[in-house]
Amino acid sequence: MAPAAIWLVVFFLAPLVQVVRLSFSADEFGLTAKGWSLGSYTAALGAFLPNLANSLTIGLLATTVAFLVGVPLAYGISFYGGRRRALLLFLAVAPFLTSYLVRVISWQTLLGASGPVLGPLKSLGLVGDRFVVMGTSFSVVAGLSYQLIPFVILPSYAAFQRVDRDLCAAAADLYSGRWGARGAVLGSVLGLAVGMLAVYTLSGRRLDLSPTAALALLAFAMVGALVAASVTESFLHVVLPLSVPGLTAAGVLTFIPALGDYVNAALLGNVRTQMLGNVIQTKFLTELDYAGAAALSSLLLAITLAILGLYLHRLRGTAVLDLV
Amino acid sequence: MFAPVLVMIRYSLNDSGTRFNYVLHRFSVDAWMHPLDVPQLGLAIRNSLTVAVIASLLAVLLGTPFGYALGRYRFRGKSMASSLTFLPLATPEIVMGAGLLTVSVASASTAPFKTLLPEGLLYPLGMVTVVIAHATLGLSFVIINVRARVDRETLVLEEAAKDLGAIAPTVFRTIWLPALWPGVVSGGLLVFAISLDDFVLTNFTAGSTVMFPTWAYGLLRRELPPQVDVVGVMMFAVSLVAVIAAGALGRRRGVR
Repeated sequence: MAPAAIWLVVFFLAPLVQVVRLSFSADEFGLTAKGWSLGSYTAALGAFLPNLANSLTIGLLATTVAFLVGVPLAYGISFYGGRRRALLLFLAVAPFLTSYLVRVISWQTLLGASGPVLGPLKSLGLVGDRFVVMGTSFSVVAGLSYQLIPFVILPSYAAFQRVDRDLCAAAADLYSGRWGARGAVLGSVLGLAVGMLAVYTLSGRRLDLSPTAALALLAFAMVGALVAASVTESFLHVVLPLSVPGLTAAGVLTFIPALGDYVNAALLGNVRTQMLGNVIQTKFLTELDYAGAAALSSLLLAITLAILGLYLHRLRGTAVLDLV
Repeated sequence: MFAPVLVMIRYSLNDSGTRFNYVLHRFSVDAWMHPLDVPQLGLAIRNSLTVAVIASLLAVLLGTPFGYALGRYRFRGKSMASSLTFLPLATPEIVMGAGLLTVSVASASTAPFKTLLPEGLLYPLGMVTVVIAHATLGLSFVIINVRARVDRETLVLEEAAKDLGAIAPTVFRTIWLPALWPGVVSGGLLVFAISLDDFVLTNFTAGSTVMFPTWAYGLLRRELPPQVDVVGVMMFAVSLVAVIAAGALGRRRGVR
């Protein structure tokens, strides 16, 4: 096993160390590190804070959307899939077997001004001629959350599969009710929170309080209340607690790639939706500002390690690899 | 969920009449009849396939013993080794790509990289660096897949075989090979699919080498020919077959 360990140290750890070293380099626009300075960090933090904020808000919203799609799907397949479970799981992840870039291009087409969705709506006169979806924060979130769905489905399916079915049967006998009123209250609060995150992200990080936004918030709260009220108590007290470790793993493995993504923002967004990854990519590959790009990469790495640290701390005794 | 795939299939059968294939105009099988009729597309596909094959073989060769050891033995530093395999999966690809890029550039001039790494291995950037990047990411997937095949049942079988007097090579051939084989193959196929699919690592490590995803990304500024969708559909079909084959193999040869 030694060769693999050496390989990982040379081609994975050493490069990360080199990026961090370069981020403290005093040699601006140098391709290798010279001297020590914090200059890259102060410059980067001054100019690219909005991009970092974009990464965090768009990443968080896209992760939430991917969870809202992926977890119910994984749950349905695991608990109601019967003998066809393997086939259904395969069908659910099959769309992601084609090239990542071609998938993003398909989203460009799908959301385009005269694409298969907006084209018919426009010819029916349901939306105005100048209505656009492509090139907004909405299209970035849509595209990114789509790409993230398999990262949610696979770990949460594995987590649901591990839940003991005898316990579920016993629980269904013991607590047979629905969550009801308490669920409705909590659900509406959660729905409101998701709605606020959506409005905040999609309106370019302002708390938009227009009538449309207020209506959307109300709808989010109502849907949340309805869903939570109909959740069964046996799910709440048995399935959920048992699958929390797997779902947390899914959250970590989804949010981290979301933070670093830049292809969706580059091809589906506009100048104001550019994420941290877009700046890093331009600096490394076009502007050749290695020190500045390394500072931003190190920042991303630090955020990632903080999330992982928190996750591993909560996990304590459990073996990490068992949850992947 | 299938909408983007349907869009891809439908738009591969389109003659948009313009340079950008975003609007349905006339049904046409032209792109399918002449799939390579875009300059450099053939080269891009050939390079991407070559990289995917080599990277998955490399990942399997390196990852199989590691996964086996992680599952089979207890040893000092095991949890550290475990974390080392988990980390590449949890690191944003852009940071990994950036790291390899900076090391590659540094290996051309500065110590310690210049003395440690063979000259010309990482610099100039090219297919070798892309292979290294994809194999590094893929390694973790192989390790996890192989490790998952080492279970209590296999250990019991191994014990039984030893009690019955089997020598080590026989134990390996009759117990471990059939047990690990599906994990190795499915891990390898997964790396192959990931390598073909990957954009970010390729973007950072390919340099000026023409690879399908980065080539198409650059092309998008000037044109979007329907051939890009044709290649997308073909990749979809190939990956579909590969994954189905891996699944079938896993069931047939599996211990359980």
